[in-house]
Amino acid sequence: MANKRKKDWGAYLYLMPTVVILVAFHVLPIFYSLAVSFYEWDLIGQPEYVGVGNYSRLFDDPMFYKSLWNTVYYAAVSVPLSILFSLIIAMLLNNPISAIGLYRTIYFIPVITSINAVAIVWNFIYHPDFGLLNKILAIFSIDPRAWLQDPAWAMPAIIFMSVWKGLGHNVIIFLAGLQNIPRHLYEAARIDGASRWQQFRHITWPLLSPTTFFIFTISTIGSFQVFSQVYMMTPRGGPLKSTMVVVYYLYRKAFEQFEFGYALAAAFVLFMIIFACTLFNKLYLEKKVHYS
Amino acid sequence: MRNFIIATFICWILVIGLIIQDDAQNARPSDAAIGGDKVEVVFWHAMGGPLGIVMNDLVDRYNKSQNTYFVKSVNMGSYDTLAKKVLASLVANEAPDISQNYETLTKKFIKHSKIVCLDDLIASESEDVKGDIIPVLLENNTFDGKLYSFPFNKSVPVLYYNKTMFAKVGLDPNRGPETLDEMVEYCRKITKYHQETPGADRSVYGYGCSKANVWSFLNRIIQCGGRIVYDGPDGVMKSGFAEAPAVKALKFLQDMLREGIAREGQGFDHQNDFIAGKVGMIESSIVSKVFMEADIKAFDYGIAPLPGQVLGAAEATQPSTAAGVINRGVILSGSNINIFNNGDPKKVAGAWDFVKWFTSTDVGAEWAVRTTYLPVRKSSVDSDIVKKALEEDANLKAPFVQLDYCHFEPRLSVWFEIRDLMADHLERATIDMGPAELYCNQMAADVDAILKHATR
Repeated sequence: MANKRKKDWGAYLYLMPTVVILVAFHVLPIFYSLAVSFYEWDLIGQPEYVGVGNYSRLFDDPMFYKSLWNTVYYAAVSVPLSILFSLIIAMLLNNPISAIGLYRTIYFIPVITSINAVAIVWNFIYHPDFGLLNKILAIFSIDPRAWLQDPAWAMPAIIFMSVWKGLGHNVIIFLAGLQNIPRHLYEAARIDGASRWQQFRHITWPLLSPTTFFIFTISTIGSFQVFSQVYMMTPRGGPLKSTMVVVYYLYRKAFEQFEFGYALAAAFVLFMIIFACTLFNKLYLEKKVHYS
Repeated sequence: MRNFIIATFICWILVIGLIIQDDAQNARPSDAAIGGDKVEVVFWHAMGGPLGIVMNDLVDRYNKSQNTYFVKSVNMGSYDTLAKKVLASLVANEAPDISQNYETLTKKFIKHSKIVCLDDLIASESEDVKGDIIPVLLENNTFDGKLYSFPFNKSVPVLYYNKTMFAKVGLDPNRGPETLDEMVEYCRKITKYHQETPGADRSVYGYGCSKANVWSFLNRIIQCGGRIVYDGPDGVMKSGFAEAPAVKALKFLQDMLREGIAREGQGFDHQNDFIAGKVGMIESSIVSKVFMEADIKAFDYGIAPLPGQVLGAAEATQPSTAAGVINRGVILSGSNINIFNNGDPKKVAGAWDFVKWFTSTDVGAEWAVRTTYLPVRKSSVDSDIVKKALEEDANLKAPFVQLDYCHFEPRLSVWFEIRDLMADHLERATIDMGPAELYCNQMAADVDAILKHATR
């Protein structure tokens, strides 16, 4: 017994660095933010307790609803698109073709590139007058568009760029999932005369579902937190606030208008929404997952 | 194994110990020893690129000019970043001794006694410092009758025009348009020439500006004889955005865009278009000159005061306006200097000494000439340094013409919020292109709702 406790101490010692960092930079700030969300505070003066005042103001704030809607729009479009494209590419890359390593690297490069650098490059691509995208569309006689300055196109443009940026990450995870599917299942299916589509529908898709579920959950969380590309590509939240997402909104409230309590209240509402989504995924969607 | 655990643990203790010790050292009030027993004065600013070079040059010269103080100048990036860092440093009790800031923040600092009242420092001076400051700059930094911040780098918007293009389309390359109506004619001429002349670049247009540009809109309201925020009869503040001059200001821009003789871009698009020779005239800060001049190679450019508006007797109702002459309103931009109250009188004295030196007649004149910012003192405007520079480079003259027509934006704590809201309405106005009255009325209603609860 005494020996076991001694062993435990060693484990705790190993855990300590991580625990200290997690407590200092994650746990404490989270509770501190929750506390500040009940105050009105501009950082310089003394915080003033306002109870749920920030929250009730938030639910009367049309711009908060707009930012929430934009965030949901972003998530609802970017997550399925990202899953669709990365699955297709992963299946292509799962074939024994030559220079496969090169292709995998190419798809992974955007993931490891800084989002800020990527955003600047895409700003050029989307430029209304000199942008690459309009130049390419012109070949097919499609009229040029002011992508990031048009309220109808700014969000789709950001979504497209984000999907491209995150593709490599999901492709790698899908590839790992695909390689876990036993070859003999496909062989058996082929002997039974199953078509490519039937093989996909009845073998690949169900056996890949744990991977898809994982990617879906992680991408949903990530897409609710979208910020950098919006900040870099559409200053002020885009034309007519069409790309104003929740995190950018609370950033502006906190660091441009110095309403920290209010911004933190918004952050907590966002946290609750993400939490609810994840809970839904876990409790409802996970039932549909086949863990073979 | 056990040894390894112990070693890890000792490393941890060591790191934590070092952090604590370092903290204690930093917290000690340092009469600090940089180059002997000089008092270190920390100065945070947002002067990057060519402006930063001039700034560092002058700071170096100050440090060499005397033996009591050492100014440590730190570039914090943009004004936005600077403001954030200053706020964070105040919370951490590690504020700089001097920093550039906007007036709205100065008001916050006054409220929480974070900065030193400059009147107390000026009182011990033998010369009449306040009497020599350009009146509008003095007023801009005076709060409840007291000077709390020092004007430092104030700029004005001006009109940049492409002289080579002007000559080509048959306009006088030695002057810009004097009035807004004249500017429209110029734009028409430039656009028409490029559309109709065989071989000319058809994408060239007359006037460029950035989208949702509140600064430009406010300038134009003043030019049209309007007002921004005023005290209503019931003591509640109101905006002048639903009034005729504001509607006229917005309609002016909408009409030019509708006619296709002007174009709006995002961010600095209009400046890039100007550099590329795609646009005849742009409205931008005079400070853009130092950022653009190295890139303008293919043509000659001129800088003119912003065009104004000749008002009728019924329109010239504001105190600064007169009927029958060109009314050139411009609104100041740029920042001021705050001296923080960090509890060490030596540092405050050093900070003041530096600010005084930096804005003194000759140094201030040199700063103005090299950066295009407005001089702070009247004596700098009259100095030989400025006079000589204006003779050598006629493009530096425009801000001095505009000096007599300067206004500043309302110094309200809610002003940034209002500005943001205004930008939304301006953006809508030039995307949807509905009647100007509509957007102006909505803007006024929204802004007035905020002003109702705001205090001066």
